[in-house]
Amino acid sequence: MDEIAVTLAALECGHGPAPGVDRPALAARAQETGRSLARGRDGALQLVLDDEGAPGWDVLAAPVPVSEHRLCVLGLLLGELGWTGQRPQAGSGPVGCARLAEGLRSRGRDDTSSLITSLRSLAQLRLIEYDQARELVWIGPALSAQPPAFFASLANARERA
Amino acid sequence: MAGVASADRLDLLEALAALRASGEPLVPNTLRALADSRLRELLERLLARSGRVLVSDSAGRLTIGYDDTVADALVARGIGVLEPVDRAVLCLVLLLSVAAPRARGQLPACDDWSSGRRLSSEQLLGHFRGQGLSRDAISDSVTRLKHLGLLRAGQDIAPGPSLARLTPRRRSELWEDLVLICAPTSSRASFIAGRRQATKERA
Repeated sequence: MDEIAVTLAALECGHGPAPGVDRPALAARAQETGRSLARGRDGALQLVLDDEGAPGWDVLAAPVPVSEHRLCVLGLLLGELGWTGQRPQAGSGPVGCARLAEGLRSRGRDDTSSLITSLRSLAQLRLIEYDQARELVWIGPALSAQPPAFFASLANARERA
Repeated sequence: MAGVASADRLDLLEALAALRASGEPLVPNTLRALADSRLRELLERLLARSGRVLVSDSAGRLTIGYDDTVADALVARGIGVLEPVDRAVLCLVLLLSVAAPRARGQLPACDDWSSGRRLSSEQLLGHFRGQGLSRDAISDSVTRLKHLGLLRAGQDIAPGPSLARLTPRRRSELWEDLVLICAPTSSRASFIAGRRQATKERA
């Protein structure tokens, strides 16, 4: 049994490694797939994409095109959750779509159908969890696993908005 | 990835990121590492070192699941196992949404669990009436299963895209589990139970 593979799989399920696991070997194996080990807000170890893990491939670019609007929506969502630049936790929320729409309006983007389109696309990429019926949004598992460069570009987009 | 050319490495990492991030299986020709057989073989070796495997759905689209041996190890350690109420809700959804319609010929005969008939909340709640589960408990369970992608997002209730990540062995075991639950005294159930017992004794 490849214990490193099992430990990595457990990390993907949100379970930290058992004491005594070979941490350097675990980190090296994670790096093979463009990831590294990091501490989440609760101190638990998690797998995150390092900057190489998304090389020139902005997650917003695939499988749907990049859009400044989607970055803006993500920035608003994080802002509503009190984001200060650190890695957000998957499942944080919910934030009402009405608050996001209000945020967009204050930035001169008063278009409800564009918001819904962006939310659907972001949900497809699992950057958010989106309940369209209840008009609620949560941080998705893919967003919490993004590399540091992603949050830097998100912070820049928020400043531009 | 010693000895892997940097251009290949970029393609591999791109495919890995896309496979993880996408909620739905991917069409192979959208990414070079999925379309090219040499790169795909490299990709599968990389995935294996993380306990993952490429899984193909009935339309030939690709996603990633957990290697069966690794998944068995996780289950043995209680990792990634659903709570009993969530198992009960998911089981009923799969029965009503996939298994029964498929048995009646209303869905294609394949082993894909991720697409099925949509149910309303009231239909689901009706089946749990008198079973000791409150409306709130079922509703909370549905919300959890939607967050996990085991049920689709939205107002209706239907199997979710995470079920596309089941390996062929897991898909067929799911069918067998439903047979054991729904027709426990049938000859098919006896055959399944007997085979599982023999496997356990050999292990």
